[in-house]
Amino acid sequence: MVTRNRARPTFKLCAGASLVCVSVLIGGCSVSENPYESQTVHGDEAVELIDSMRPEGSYEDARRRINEAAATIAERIVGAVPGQTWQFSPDPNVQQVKSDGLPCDKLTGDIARRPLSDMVEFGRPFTSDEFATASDIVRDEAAEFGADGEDSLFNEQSRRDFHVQGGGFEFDLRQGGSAILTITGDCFLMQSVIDSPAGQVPADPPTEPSTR
Amino acid sequence: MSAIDAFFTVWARARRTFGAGTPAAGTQFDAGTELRQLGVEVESAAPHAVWSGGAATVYGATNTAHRERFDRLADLDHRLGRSVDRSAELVGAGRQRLDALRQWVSDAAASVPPGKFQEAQLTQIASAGLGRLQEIVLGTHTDLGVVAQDIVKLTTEYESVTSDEKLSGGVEEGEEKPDEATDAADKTDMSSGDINEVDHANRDMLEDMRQEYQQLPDGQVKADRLADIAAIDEALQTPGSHLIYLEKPDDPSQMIPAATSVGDPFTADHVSTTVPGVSGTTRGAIAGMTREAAELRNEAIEVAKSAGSPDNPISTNIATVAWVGYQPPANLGQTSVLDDDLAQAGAPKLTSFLGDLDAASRNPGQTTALFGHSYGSLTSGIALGDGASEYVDNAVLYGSPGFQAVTPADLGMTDDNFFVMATSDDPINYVADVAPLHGWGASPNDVIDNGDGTLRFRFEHLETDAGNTPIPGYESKTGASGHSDYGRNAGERMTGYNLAAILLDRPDLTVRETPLSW
Repeated sequence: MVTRNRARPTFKLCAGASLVCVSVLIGGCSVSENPYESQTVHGDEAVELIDSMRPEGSYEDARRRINEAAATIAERIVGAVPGQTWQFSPDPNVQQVKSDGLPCDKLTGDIARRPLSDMVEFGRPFTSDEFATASDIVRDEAAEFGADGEDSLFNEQSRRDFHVQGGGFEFDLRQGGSAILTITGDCFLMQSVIDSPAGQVPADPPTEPSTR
Repeated sequence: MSAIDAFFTVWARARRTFGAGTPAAGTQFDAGTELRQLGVEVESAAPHAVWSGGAATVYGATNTAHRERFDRLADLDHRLGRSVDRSAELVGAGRQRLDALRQWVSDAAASVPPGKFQEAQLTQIASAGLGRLQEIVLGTHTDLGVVAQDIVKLTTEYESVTSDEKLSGGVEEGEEKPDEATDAADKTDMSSGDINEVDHANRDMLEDMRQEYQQLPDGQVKADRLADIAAIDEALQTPGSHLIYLEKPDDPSQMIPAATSVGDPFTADHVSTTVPGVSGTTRGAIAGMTREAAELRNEAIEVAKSAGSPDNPISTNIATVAWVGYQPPANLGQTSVLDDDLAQAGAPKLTSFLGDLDAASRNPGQTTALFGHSYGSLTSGIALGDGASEYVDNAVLYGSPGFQAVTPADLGMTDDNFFVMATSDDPINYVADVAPLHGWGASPNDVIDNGDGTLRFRFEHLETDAGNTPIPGYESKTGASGHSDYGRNAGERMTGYNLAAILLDRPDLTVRETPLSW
């Protein structure tokens, strides 16, 4: 067995003083801070949050809507850009992750998730003019979701990107090695939660293994 | 950048070291009054004259010892409260002096008339401001050092009181013992490499443990173990998650070690294992870490699809593991953060886990990345140096106080596959600076001369600040700050992007940091 250097006792005070100095330097604010702490809310706070999210509709519905929007955008782009094609990524790993969605900070995955659209892959890169046309179409469809805060860092031969955000959704058209469109949403309640009575936290589900 | 701008930049960095929010008051740490009252109540339960004989004598002596311990703890609590108050005063005063200095420089700069001497006068003001800034920071640091030493002395006295109690057979509730060897029958057998089989077996075991621990007498141990289990339950609500490791401790006062994976780590092409640091207990970390694992996996897929091309694809078959398999210090206030005992105890467990994962893998081309945060980087460093590097293709240690290495070779790694991340305002950097003094190797942030006058980090650094990635068209990333941001919101931060690139075994896609940009 390899014997490693152990902390030398004579210097433990030095290490200790350093650590405590760090703690007090930041006002003791971080002594009990846990960087990994779950932000999940419980009890009345959870009930209040869940009920406030009910009018937004379900995760399943939101994911269906952004997938439809992604397909609509792709179809319109293909119609406007001669020779362009598109497909939802056939990669099963991508499909799985996108259909799972992402966890929310304050609610567990059985209650709410952040929807991700399937990934749209275009058949070839866009030219500058074509990318401008595609961006206009993305802007147009994103507006239907209340997304109107747009930015773009690059529009040159080697790299192009167009990003629209707002209304709880983000539309991202980018082009590097390939041209890709993705849409993401903020947290939405699962349909099973929408279907359950208001004013209470849904019962904890059994810890069944994921099928994936 | 003008001299005044440079002053304000340095001032902002100095101000960040004084933290935000209201410093903790001593009253939060001072339970002296309550402890003294407890002593009085214990005293009232003494045998007095109504009970005599040998047993009464032994009981009476024990009772007196308990009373004395409560009194000593009450005194220590009062002294700790005063020390914390003093540190809060120093921090508050330091902040005020910094604010006043900033105002002075601002006013002075505004009063300088335009003209050919303007820049020279501004430079003089900035220079004077920087000198004063240094005095404030160093002065406060020195004063806080005195307070810190007082607190360290108190720590020793606390340990003296509690060790007396342990010697007399007392069991401290709520504080887990260091890791001990566990019967192989009481932990996960991953050898099948079948994710569903392993996951099922672990969930069954978790259910058995829940039922068993519910039978424990009410108290901190029962509450902590059920909290461990509840945290694992919560983690498993993360989409795509599996329980790939679970261990039943021999002693219920010990934490329940566990690991989750988002994705299948036995068949994935790329797997990462993340090791937490201080506060990274099962009940305190596994749910949050599993969420972070899901976000990291999604970011890695986005990077793979964006950097790959039909002619040169990057695999999207990815799994991200959150390993909470060792007992870390529960918080920065515990004396165990001052030494490497818990890291030394946890490192063989980490090595064992990585070895078991490697043996169970059904994918011979699989790559493995090890990510260690904070005290977990120390644990990871010890494990790598003791042989875990055999199972690791790449490693990133971040927010690190040191990892017992002077070169990557000490860890069985190289400059091409071993990396460090450190935000410029992470308070742990102060501890890292003295790593050589307490046997934790070179500072993770050490800058050395290449031999030709140019400087480099001793260990390759990855960028933590905001910026663009080298992937054409891929979105720009936000910066990380402080000690806790590294693993959070992987899809948004530069740190998450860099971890994703390493997870994909593509160090060439990372954004590097140089001493000049740090």
